[in-house]
Parts: sequence; structure tokens; C-alpha cells
Amino acid sequence: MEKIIGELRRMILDYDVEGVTLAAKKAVEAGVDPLKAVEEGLARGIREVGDKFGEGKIFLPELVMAAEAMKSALEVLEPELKKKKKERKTVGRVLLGTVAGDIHSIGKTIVVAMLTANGFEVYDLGVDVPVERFVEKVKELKPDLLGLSALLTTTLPVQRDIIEALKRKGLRDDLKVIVGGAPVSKEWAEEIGADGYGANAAEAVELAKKLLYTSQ
Amino acid sequence: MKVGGQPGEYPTVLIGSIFYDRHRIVSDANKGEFDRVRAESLIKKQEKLSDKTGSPFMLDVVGSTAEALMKYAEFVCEITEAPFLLDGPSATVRIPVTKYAVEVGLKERIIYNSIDNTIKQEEIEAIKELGIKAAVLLAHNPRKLWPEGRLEILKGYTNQTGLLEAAKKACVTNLLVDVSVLDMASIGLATKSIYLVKQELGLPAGCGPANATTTWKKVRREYAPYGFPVCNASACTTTQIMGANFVLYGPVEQAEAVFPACAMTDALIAYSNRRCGIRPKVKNHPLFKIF
Repeated sequence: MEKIIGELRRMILDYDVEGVTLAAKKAVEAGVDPLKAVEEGLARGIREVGDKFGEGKIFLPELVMAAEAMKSALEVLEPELKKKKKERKTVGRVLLGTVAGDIHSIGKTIVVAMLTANGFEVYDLGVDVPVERFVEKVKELKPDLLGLSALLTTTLPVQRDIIEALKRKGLRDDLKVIVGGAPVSKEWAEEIGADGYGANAAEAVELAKKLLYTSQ
Repeated sequence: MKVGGQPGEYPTVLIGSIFYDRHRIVSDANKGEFDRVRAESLIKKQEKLSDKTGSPFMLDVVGSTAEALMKYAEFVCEITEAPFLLDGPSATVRIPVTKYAVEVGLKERIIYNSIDNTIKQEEIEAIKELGIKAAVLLAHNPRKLWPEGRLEILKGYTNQTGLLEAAKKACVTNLLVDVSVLDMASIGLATKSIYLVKQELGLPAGCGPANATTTWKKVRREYAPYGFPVCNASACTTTQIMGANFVLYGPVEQAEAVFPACAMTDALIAYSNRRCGIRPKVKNHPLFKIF
């Protein structure tokens, strides 16, 4: 059992998507406690990756691949957690996506990777996400934090549309919203009623921690 | 214009971006309003540098709405005869503009930018129907960002159609493989990938180091005013050393720094490879112009 958990951690540290998925399947077959597999295997590995990134020892490719590996293994382990009614310990639940009309994914992927590495439970809606889908998913997943990425000046107004739509549906008050992307500024975030903005992925993570800690 | 060949045969094609997001010459990115005088001057400057150095050029025409991209494409055609990349953020922008470009007789001049791993069947069919023959394949593989991951995304893997297969279905025959750059450090991986793609697939390959250099704040902050242009040009030449056939060098404003640096590098490669029997295949190769 310990061996499989160690393998999960090691595969994350090797940025091996296929390897970690196989290890996760092995864990399920061997009846390893899925919570232990996630927390002592995957989460431990991803924290180590996050630390190395923070120290400048590794770079974005490794961080992104580690996050992809974690995502892939969670797809195997999460149904087991649900089956056994066990909940992961997380810093907070985050829903993220790039807004409609915008297919830029790299910035968002980096934020997803860094949030994951810092212990957040992250749901990535992908790119070109319509306003309605953000609203639907907020309703369904009840995240603590919503992250809206826009990389173009032309798609920036969609961030405002989403916040307005959330207000109309009565979903805005229980939720923190942060915005990011190259054209986003502190002034813009204030103007549209977001709770904050991150100029880069590291800032986004710090902001997420600050917002969630102070609201708890 | 020939893109490809053995190192030293054909010079690297230098591709400058214009009308990119927050480009100062653009006043309305939705409607595609811009300063025509300044845009023309930027394009002409690139053209002159190309003539002077022997480095061929293209433009990466970037637009975030179909209306804007259409206007930009129309303008670029008036100003230059060079081929250009039609670069929109999504199929909903790219396809109507490509359709328009085909209708006005520009089919042979445009390069569809780009086909990537998110391409859907409708887009493949639309490209096929429009008869576009040239496209950029963006070899970005988030699950494996090492050089071999680029090959994997090109060839395909379980449940993921390869980009080569997608291009084949779209009947695109002239392919430019952009090996994709994620951050500054990954320019090194990209250059290695160029070598690998050419070796394994024999396709013209290159990348856009400017995707990273333009976001590198420290170089602008701590090494101004020369840090950015010098490092950007240097990143471009690094890719040439590993065989890049084209380089997306970033804002077209950087042409003055990039053209002499890349032309010099092409000349050095060509001179060195002459000893192996590989000779420049064009008369105006930088080897005969830059020194």
C-alpha cells in the first residue's frame, strides 16, 4: 500500500501523466484508501513540485505537466472518494476558465497548476467558456472562488458580463471572484466589481489565499 | 517563397506580428480601426530590411474579431505582396475571414494560423471546403512538454487525433510546424523540438520565442533599453542554430534588431555547411548580402 502511494508521489515528481494514471488505477484495484492516495501521494508530490517552482529550480513546463498528471490521476481517484463518501482536505474550491471568445489557455493553465500545487481543489472549465456555463457551474459546484481569464482587450468585457450574470442569479455574494490576463488591471477589477486581480500566477495564488483565509 | 530545406539552403523566414492585442497602432480592436500610415510604415520597414539582409519575411496578421481581422488582411494585401499568417483567436474568427480572403482571390497568399489539438471537426471541414493549402500546426502538448511531446501531438496518441491527421483531413498540404514556446526557459526545449521534428518528419519547423520574451518583465526592467531587443533577437537566433525554418519574432517593431541578427546567423550556418556540400539555393541569401 505504502509502495503504491510512494509511486503516485514519484510519478507526479516525474511529470508522468501515463505513469500516474496507471498508479492511480493500481491504487483502486489494491483497495488503497483513496483519501490517503490523494493526500499522501498526489498532493504531497504536487506540493514538492510547487516548492521547487517557487525556488526557481524548475520551470513552467514541469509545473504544467505535474498539474496535468495530478488532474489525470484525480479522474481515477475522485469517483472512489465519492463512493466512499470521503472529502479531500483542500485550501478551497476554485472554478476557473477563459472567457467566451478567447482561446488562450497557457496563462490559465499556469494558474491552475500553481493553485493545485498550493492545495486548492481546482475545476478548469477550459477556454472560450460562455457566460451561462460559468453561472451553471458556480451553481453546481459551489466554489469558494471563481477565476476569470481574458487575454484580449476585446474579450475583457466578458468578465464584467459574468459578474453581472452572477449577481442577477443571486450567486455573487457567497463567492469571491478574481480576474486575470494580460490586459487586466487593478482599476479594471475594481470597475467591474471583482474581488481582486493577479498580475501573474504567483500573485493569483497569493490573492486566492488571502481572500479565502480572510473570508473564513 | 520557399520555407524549409537543409540548414544553409534557404534563409529563415522572419515573421513579424502586426495588429496584435494592445498594438499601439490599433485604436479599436473590435472594429479593426488603426493608424494606416504607421501600419504601412512598419510593414515597409520590414520589407526594406528583408531586401537589405536577404532574410525573407511574412507577417502574422492578428485580429481578435472577424470584422477587425478582415480589415487588417485587406490592408496588408494592399501594402505588400508577401504571404501572411491569418491569426485569429478562434475558429469563429478565422473561418469567416478565411472565406472572405478566398473570395477576393487571396487563397495562395494566406497561411491558416493555426491547427492545434483543440480543433473540431467543423473547422477541419471548413478549411477543406475553402481549399486552403497552407497552415501552421501548433504542436503544443500540455501533458508532455518535452520535445518528444511535440512529436506525440503531431502524430497523435490514444483518443487524440494527431495534428498531421487533422491537416490531412483538411487537405492542407503546406505545413509549418510551430513547436510552441511556453516560457523563457522552454525556448531551449522548443529549439531541440525543431531539430527533432525536422529529423523525424522532414517538415519545416520553427517557433515564436517572442511569446516568452515579450512577457519577460525583468529584462525590460533591469536591462533597459537594450535588454529586450537584444535578448529577443538572440532567442530567435538560438532557434536558427537548431534548424528553424521560420521564426515568429514578435512585434513587427522589433524588425530592426531581428533582421541583421538572424541574417548573420543564416550566413554563418550557410558558410559552414558549404563544406558539407550544402549550398544556398537562392541568389539573395544573407551569406551574399549581410557582410
